[in-house]
Amino acid sequence: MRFERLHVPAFGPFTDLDLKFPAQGGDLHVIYGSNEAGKSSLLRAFRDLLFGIHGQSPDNFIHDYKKLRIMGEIVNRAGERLTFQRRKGNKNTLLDAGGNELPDNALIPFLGSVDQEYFSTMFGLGTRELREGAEQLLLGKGEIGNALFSASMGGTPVQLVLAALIDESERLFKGRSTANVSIRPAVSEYKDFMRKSRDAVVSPEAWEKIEKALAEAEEAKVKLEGEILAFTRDLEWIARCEDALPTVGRLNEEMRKLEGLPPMPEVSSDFVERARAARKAAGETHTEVDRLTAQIAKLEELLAGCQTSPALLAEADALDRLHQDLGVYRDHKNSLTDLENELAGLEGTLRVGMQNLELTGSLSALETLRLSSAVRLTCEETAGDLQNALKEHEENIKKTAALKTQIDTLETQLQTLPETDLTNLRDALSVAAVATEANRTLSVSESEVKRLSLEAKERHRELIGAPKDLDATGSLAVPTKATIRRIGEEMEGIYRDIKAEESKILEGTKQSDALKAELGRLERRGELPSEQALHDARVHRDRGWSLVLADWKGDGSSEELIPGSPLEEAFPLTIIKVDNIADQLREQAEAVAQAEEKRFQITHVEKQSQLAEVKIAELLSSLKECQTTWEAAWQPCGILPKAPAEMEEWREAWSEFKDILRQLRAAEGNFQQKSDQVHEATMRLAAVLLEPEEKGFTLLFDNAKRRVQKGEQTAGRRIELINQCQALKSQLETFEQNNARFATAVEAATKKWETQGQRVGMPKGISPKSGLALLQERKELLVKFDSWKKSSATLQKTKDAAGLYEQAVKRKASALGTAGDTIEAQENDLWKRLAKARTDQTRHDQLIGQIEEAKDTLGESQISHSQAVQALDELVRLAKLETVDALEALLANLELRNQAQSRIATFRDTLSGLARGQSVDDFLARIRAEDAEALHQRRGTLQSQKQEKEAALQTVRDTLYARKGERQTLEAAGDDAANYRQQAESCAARLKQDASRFVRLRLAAHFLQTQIERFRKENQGPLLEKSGQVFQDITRGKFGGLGAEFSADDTPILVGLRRDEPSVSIEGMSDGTRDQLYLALRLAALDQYLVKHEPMPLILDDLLITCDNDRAAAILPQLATLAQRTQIFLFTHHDHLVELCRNNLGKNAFLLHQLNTNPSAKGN
Amino acid sequence: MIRFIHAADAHIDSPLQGLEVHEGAPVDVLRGATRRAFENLIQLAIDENIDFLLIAGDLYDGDWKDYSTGLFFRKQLVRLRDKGIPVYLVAGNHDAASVISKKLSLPENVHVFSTRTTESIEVAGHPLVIHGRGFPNRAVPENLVVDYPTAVPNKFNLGLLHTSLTGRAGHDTYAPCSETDLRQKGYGYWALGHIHQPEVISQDPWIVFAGNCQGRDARELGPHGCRLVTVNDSLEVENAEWHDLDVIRWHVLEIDLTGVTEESEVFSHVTKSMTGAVSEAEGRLVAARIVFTGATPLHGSLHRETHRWRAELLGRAQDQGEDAIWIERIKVLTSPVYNLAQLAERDALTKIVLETLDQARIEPGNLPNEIKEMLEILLPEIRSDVESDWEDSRQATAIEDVRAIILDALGTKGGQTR
Repeated sequence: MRFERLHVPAFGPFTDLDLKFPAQGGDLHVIYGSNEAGKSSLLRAFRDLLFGIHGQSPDNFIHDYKKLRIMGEIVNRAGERLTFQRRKGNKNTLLDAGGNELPDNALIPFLGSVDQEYFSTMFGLGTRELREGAEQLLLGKGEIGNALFSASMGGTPVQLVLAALIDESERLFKGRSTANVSIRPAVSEYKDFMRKSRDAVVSPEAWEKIEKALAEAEEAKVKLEGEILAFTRDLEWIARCEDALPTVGRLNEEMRKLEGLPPMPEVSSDFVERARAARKAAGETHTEVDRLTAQIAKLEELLAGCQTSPALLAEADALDRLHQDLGVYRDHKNSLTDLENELAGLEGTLRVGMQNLELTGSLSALETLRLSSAVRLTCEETAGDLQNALKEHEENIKKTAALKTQIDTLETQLQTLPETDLTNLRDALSVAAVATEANRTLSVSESEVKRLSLEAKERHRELIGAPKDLDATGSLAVPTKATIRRIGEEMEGIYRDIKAEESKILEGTKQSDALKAELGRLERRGELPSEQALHDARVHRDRGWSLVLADWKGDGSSEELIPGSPLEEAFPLTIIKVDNIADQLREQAEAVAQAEEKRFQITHVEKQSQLAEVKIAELLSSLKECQTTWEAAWQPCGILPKAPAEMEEWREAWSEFKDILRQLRAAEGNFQQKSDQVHEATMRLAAVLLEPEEKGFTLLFDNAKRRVQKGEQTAGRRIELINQCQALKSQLETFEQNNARFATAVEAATKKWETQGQRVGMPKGISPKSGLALLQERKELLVKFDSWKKSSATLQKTKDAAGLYEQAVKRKASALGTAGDTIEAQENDLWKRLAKARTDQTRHDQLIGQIEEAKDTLGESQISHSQAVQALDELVRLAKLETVDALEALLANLELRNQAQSRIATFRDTLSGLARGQSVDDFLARIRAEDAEALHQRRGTLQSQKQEKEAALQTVRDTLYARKGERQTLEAAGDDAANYRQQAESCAARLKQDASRFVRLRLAAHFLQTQIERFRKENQGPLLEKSGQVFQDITRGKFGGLGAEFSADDTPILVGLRRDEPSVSIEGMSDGTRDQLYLALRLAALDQYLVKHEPMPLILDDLLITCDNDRAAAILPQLATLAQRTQIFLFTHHDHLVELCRNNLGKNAFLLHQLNTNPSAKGN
Repeated sequence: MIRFIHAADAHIDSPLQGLEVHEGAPVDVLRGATRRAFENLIQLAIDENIDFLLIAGDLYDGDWKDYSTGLFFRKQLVRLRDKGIPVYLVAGNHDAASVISKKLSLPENVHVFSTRTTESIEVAGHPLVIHGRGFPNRAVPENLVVDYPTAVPNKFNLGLLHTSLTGRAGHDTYAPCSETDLRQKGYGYWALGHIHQPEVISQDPWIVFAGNCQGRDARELGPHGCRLVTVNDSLEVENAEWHDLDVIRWHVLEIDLTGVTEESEVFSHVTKSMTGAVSEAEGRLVAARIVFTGATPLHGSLHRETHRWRAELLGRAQDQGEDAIWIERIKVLTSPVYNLAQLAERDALTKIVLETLDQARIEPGNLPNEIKEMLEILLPEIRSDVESDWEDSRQATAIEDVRAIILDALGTKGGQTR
């Protein structure tokens, strides 16, 4: 397939880009575009046209996804042609030229099975791929299978593929290793879980034992707890008795006290508190009335001594404002001095400026210097024009001088380069060029001779019985294949017949045995009579009858019909026997018939077997004759033949040997012829170069080429210098013409400047630079003058404000009779007096308020006192007393009675707590019945008994706790067993997955390795030869080709061959050479691909940018050659590569397409 | 009216198979799943206040010796005893081999049918007879039904039996008998055990496999539980209502990837399928086997990047919620979209690889040494599972896996481009 045209209506930076790719001679297209010209987008456009625009295509920065469109016209080897377009989308993206949908398979006749990935890999090659490919070669140490495999797969790094598979598998399992792998540790883990599960399993016996121990301990515990409870209750009663006895004693005491008090009136329980409170209230209210009366008198005295100033307080607002404005007044006074200083400074500066500009009079004379903006700008412009004109004129004069110096230098260089004649050298080179091919393939031919020789010997060894000499073996008069096959078939026929006859015999024997067995079975059922037996019996009977007749007739003989039996007994027996046989024959007719049939069949089968044996003897005789013929056929070769089938294989091997031998002889001839050709060319080169022929063809050829190249370079340099000289002279002429033009311009500008200067009052003849400075000085002076005017106005305004404040203060001071030297002192005095007047007024107001408040409180206290006295009188009446004074004695007795009753209640409460639900009186009675003295001893006895039981209980509890712990452990173990089993299963699941994965990965790796080796064996020869040719060409003969050698570990490796020098391994090559080698392999693989497949365009993206010019120049012809067979696009953004193509391939060997994003840009 | 539950094959404390533990896996649910399912059975019996419970064999795994399993079982039966619910059970092939069943004493509400002869038990207070016989040995090759008596007149007759009937896939044949054998007895309900997948063989009379209470591997799919049977006063089965008991639900999520080109689309299909399974499981943990089928360009990646796919799918499973779904295995049965014949024509190498693979066979005696060495360290039970890959019926799948791995590895330059 090739592209005829690529039209990009909208894609990436392109709008309506149209490129045509006619095949003229070769099909090499150089697509040149500077950076940002859209080279990458165009690369994608080629790919996307064929395989679809990617979902996240980056080429939508100008045109929306919906509008993206690429069109193309392609043609295949069969001449089919298709014009189609591609839009972006998920389906139906392929359209015909008219925009109608095309089926997805419309491109199959052009692409075959090539998909996008394969297209990019196999037919796309750039600097990066070249570099990586070369690195992979190095990484694989030139292992030939991998190298060829990788190149044939478009650079797929097969050793990486293998390594990736093995890596993954080794993460699962790696021999004895347990680190960083999963299978082996998982096996251990699985075993571990299974073991733990088994260990954790709990037996029924263990459960039974623990349950029994638990039940026993539980029973002992219950018994002991009952006993301890009884002790505890007794001890508790003793403790209660001991707790209650002191309280009971005190209760008795209080009851005795109560009985000893005098009789008292019945009053309420709070009588004592109420009486005491009433007495206290009457006393307190009386004291308060006295205190308030004294306080009022004291306050009225203070009020009388307090004075106020109403006149001053009437001016309070005006005095507040004056005090607030005092700060502003002080600021004004301070700023007056600063302003006066500033004005004095400015005036001095302005006076100096006026003197400099020769101005007199007042400062307002400066106004005469002010210019309008328009006038000033015109002035500046005129001065600038004059300065530029002067500068240009000066530069032109300098450049003219420099050009003259350059021209002189070039002319000197030209004189040092000699002219040379290369005719003789070129003739010798053309002769040598013819021999190049021979020289290049010489080592391959030699290797081929060696290889064929080894193979011929190897095959010869396999020909058992053949003569020792190879050629003699090759010319043996071996029977033809037809003869061998004919005799073989004949012998095989005989063997087959013998086998068939033997089978018959075997079959006959089997049949006979089977028939005999069946007969035996029939006979075993009972004696089977035969017709013969009936016949014999009848003869016997008839003989008996004849004896009876003879006896009856009186001429009996001594013959016994049945030995030992008299005739009269024997004869009836013979009749019976005949009848019996006849009856049997009738009754068992079927069985008899079968038996007869079997007997007949047995006889027949045995006869057949005999016939077969005879036939076998005849066949053996024929076989012997055949064997004689067979041996006779081989007699001319002197070989005693084996079986025809084996000899047919022998003959096959002999034919192959003969073929190899023929190839060997041809290769030897070819090698010799090449060797002669190279020798002759070497002689010619040595003669013309005047160098010894021992240097060898390659070296001499290279020297000759270098000498021609050098000569050509010198001639080229001369032409280049002459051209440069001419160009410089032409430039010089232009500069000289410019000189006059610049002088005129300077004159006109000067005149204009002088006129403008006079207009603004500049001194005559002033330079533009000084004029501009003067204008600036005048401008700055006017700025300062403006500033002086502004400051003068501010000074006057400040003075006015200070004056107004001073007048106001003086007025108030005079009105209120205040003294003071300064305005500030007067204001300060006014302010202090106002403050004092305000304080006095406040104190006066406070005293009036306090007096009124005290009078109110006094009234209330007098009422309270009266009420308290009334309440006390009422209580006295209730106690039935005559006076208040008798009240105190009654209150003391009432308090004693209340205290005793309260304590008795408290003691009964305490006893109620100890009674635990019993009534207090019952409890008292029970306690009073106890012997208090014996309680202590009783408690000691009970405590020691209880302690004994508690110790026993603790032991039982410990046992119980331990047993429960054991039971819990068993329970947990039971759970653990199931858990471990479950974990083992989970482990097994992972193990199975990992093991299956490992098997697949290892099988894949193993399989791939096997197939790489197979590929190497099948393809090594042709691929090496082709890539060797390319390699030789692109290294300019530095290498003679490629060969295969064996590494230390017997692996076939790729080496570069050099004539008369040791071969170079991949590791021994420079980076550049390895790049070249990888390129050679890829080009050879493509060449091989083209033999069997539809061509596909090869897209090279800046492939040659890392090559120096020599290497690039060597590679370009290879591309041109390949372009004879398939289309090649070489993308570049280096114009020197375009130049290299022109120089090395000629203008007509390729088509240049300039790329730019200008919509109107066209290729070609 | 009589109401009883028919359950079978509890296999208490037997492990669930094939579930690999991974980060965030809900292992606690997994452990003790068979116990939880059995507890559900007991709770259902209590909640429904049934008249009695039937268990048709295989309470434990035969080779399981842990007595606490038996005690757990006993404890559950005691719960029923406390509620006055009798239990009738027969020994299955596993119970016959179990040391637990030999040692364990059961509460008085439990009747275990004889293993020597067929017993017929009348259930007190109900016109109902249960005929049953347990397995005396692990293997019972004879038809036990022959010895079952014919139906007792005017009673509802119930047969309790552990059997494989005439054979069922995945189960050994034990106590073989035919449907006709069972019909001929004239019973109203045959409560069968041994087959783990629930199945109603017939409704006239009712012949039912209750299935096991908890599915234990990816072959035991869907709901697992028991049947709550109601017999009306006319002594006819009114219904046999299904009740789920399982706590983990096994599902096979078959995802057809025909025409699917984007990974996001795969995940979308998987998520949809997972959501369906989770919803169907009604809050149970779903143990899912994901099976990819169909022709897809992702065929190679699915075979090659198994770890990545697994991690991605686990992520999707986690999105379904905590303890919602557990991926048991991802089975790739997809086919490639490329035409192998065309692919072979593209370059000589691929041709060699594909042609040779076509004729390739995995020969156990001819395996690479690394594989032999790996197999050596595996335990026999795991090894035989791995080796089953090259059984005749599975060879083609294994070779296809190998082919996909090679093609994908070549296509992606050993993982350099992706």
